[in-house]
Amino acid sequence: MSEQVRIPYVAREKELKDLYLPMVAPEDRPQTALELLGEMLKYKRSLKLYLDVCTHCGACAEQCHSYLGTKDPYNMPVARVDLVRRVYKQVFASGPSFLRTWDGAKAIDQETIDLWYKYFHQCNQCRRCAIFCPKGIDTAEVTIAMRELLAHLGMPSRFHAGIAKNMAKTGNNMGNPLPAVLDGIEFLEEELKEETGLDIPIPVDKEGAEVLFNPSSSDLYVNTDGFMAVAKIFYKAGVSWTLSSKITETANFGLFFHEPSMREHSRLLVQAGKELGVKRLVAGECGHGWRTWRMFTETINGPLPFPVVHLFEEVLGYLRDGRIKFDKSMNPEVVTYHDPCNYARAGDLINQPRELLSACVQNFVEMTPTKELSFCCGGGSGILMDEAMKIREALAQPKAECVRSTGAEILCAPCAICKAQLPDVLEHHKVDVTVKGLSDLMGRALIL
Amino acid sequence: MSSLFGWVIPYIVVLLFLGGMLLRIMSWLKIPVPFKLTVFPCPKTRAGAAADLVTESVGFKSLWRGGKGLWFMSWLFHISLAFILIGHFFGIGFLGQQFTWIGATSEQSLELSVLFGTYAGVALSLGLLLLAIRRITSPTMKFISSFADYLVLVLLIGIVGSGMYMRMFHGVTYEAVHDYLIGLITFHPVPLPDNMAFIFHFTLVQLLLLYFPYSKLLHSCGIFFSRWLIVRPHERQVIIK
Amino acid sequence: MADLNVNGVFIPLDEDGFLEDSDLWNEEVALALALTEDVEELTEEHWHLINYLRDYYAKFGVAPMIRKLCKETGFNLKKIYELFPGGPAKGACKVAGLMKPTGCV
Repeated sequence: MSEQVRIPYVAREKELKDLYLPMVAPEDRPQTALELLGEMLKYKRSLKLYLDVCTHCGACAEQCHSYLGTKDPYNMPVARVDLVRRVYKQVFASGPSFLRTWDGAKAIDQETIDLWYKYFHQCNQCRRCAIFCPKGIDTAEVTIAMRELLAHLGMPSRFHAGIAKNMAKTGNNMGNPLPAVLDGIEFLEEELKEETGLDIPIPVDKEGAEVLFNPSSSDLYVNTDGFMAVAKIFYKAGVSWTLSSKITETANFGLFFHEPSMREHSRLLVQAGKELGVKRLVAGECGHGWRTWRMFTETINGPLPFPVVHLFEEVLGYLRDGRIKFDKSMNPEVVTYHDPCNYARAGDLINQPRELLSACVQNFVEMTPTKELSFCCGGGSGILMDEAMKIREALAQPKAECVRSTGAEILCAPCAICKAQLPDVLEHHKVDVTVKGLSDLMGRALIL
Repeated sequence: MSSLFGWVIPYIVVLLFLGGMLLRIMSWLKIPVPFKLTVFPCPKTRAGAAADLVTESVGFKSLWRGGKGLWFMSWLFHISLAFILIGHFFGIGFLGQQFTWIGATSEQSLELSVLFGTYAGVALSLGLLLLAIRRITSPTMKFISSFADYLVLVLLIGIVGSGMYMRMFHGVTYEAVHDYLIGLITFHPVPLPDNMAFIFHFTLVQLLLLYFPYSKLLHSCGIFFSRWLIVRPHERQVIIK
Repeated sequence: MADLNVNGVFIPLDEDGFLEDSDLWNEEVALALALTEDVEELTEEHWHLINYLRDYYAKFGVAPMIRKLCKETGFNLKKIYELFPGGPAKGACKVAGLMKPTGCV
């Protein structure tokens, strides 16, 4: 990468205040960081284990798209975690100090914290290293912990903090106030009528509906085809569904840097579902939102009052029951599938989307590597900042080569982050492909 | 002096090693695991997860997925190390007579014991040397290596080298080592075998044991704890039909 | 980012070149912002798009969904990229003095 690559902007006071995060003076940061790290080591076994058991074998290096794409040695997962390990060895590890020095122990300083900021914002939390590490070290765990630590040092990225603020204010990451959301929905109903000639409703706050559908707010801004497809599928399957006016967001950015925001996000959704008396919550196309439901919510929010299912599981049920049918010939292009990291490695959604794809597209080709070995799009963990575009392009390089070699015309990438990241970066890498969600393809093929 | 090195220090070393390991393992176990960390696709049952740990620790499945070169070096080293540890137990414990159980004569058994020991020793040395060369020559490995990474290699090479040397050129017999170790284990110490090569080998092993709980060698235990986090079966909180 | 110099008056911009304060927008400011987006002059078509964005923003406080923008201005996405190479969100919204759309976009 070139000498001066812009890293994500750090949040300012106004964003911090909204999230009740402290401003910490630079000279106080090392001490505060040690206190925070000490606390984390007391409640995250993974963190301590990973800092103890790495043998520096380097098996992770060649498997990390971040290192492959940037060639920056600190982006090797082992080296990234070593930035924390050296402080751990200095302060928290067991054993005589000369042994810890041999292990690379180093006192924390402001520069260390700046390196943390820089390199823990170049990890997409994709978990691919965990598949190749013989000890099963999942660098995403360390990144999640360190982003949280940075947030409490008053150093979340401005982008993440701004989005969490929007979410807290409006119930969606884009910060769209309710009248704007309702205006958009009304417009989409008209569009559906115009396109199909049918009165396909997009209900909001419909009490007693069977399903509370929770889209990503970008589905109501840019990925509207996919959102309209979902409305068509519910209509055809005869399922009573609704949106909630309180929250139209499945993309839980709290996972990336702030546990309180993560908890509040899930709480709001569960509450909305309870108030409307729905039977289940269906999560839309969003990778880490899905990961949050599958892996985090139970711990942080307590038992769920109703099941949370992914849209693909829901629609697959309709398809298997014969409640909906697809006409493959509506999708004649060559289609390949990008496994969003948080579906495949962190969400157990590998075969379901493939079953749907094989039912609704004519020419499906697998990518190499694929499924749980798939490379990240480079936008994972919310690395979608405009200012970090050079980094995003570099992070996407391995994926771009995978997509290119399929020769596909359509890249199905059913995750809001992937959909935001891939078109920009693939264009940069000169890969000529159209990025679509799986809903978009299902919508085109659905026989109404 | 020789009673200090032969009788006192080994007990202290073993105590420090066992105590250290116990403390390290306890230090992990007392920390909670708040979130599910399963990496999919994952085993469906606990037995499946246990099987995954076995295939990983015997076959090095994760390394096999990546570069086969590293897999080969690492697997060769660890498997021959396992053979040698088992060989130490049987060879020294039963004076090389363990193969008489499967019908060999006493001389044949001793010969086989020595032969297998030599093969395993050569394989272990080869694995270690390859790993050392890899660490020294690759710029990326250099970047991530600390002094301790080289030190462990040097210690192990010293242990293997001195072990091979004393058996092949220095006439240390199974009997002498057997008597000494049995003496230690049964708390009826006998003098250290008067053999510099053995003393060197034995001292390096004790240094390694002392270092073990505070070094990356901890991965030998830790791997089961860290892998369990990502392979344990993950039940969905709410099961849908 | 440096402030925007509009006939000697300095208007504060954020790092991405968007107006810090949307209320400071006027047609002169739009012309100056357009230059930062490699748009040399604002034609009638540009103004058609800008005015729609301004109206929607005044009513709802945000940018309209892209689909609605296309439909109601009569410009398809390709046309919008021709007018504003930065696209509807980062190009047109900037020149119209709106905030930058954020989230998974």
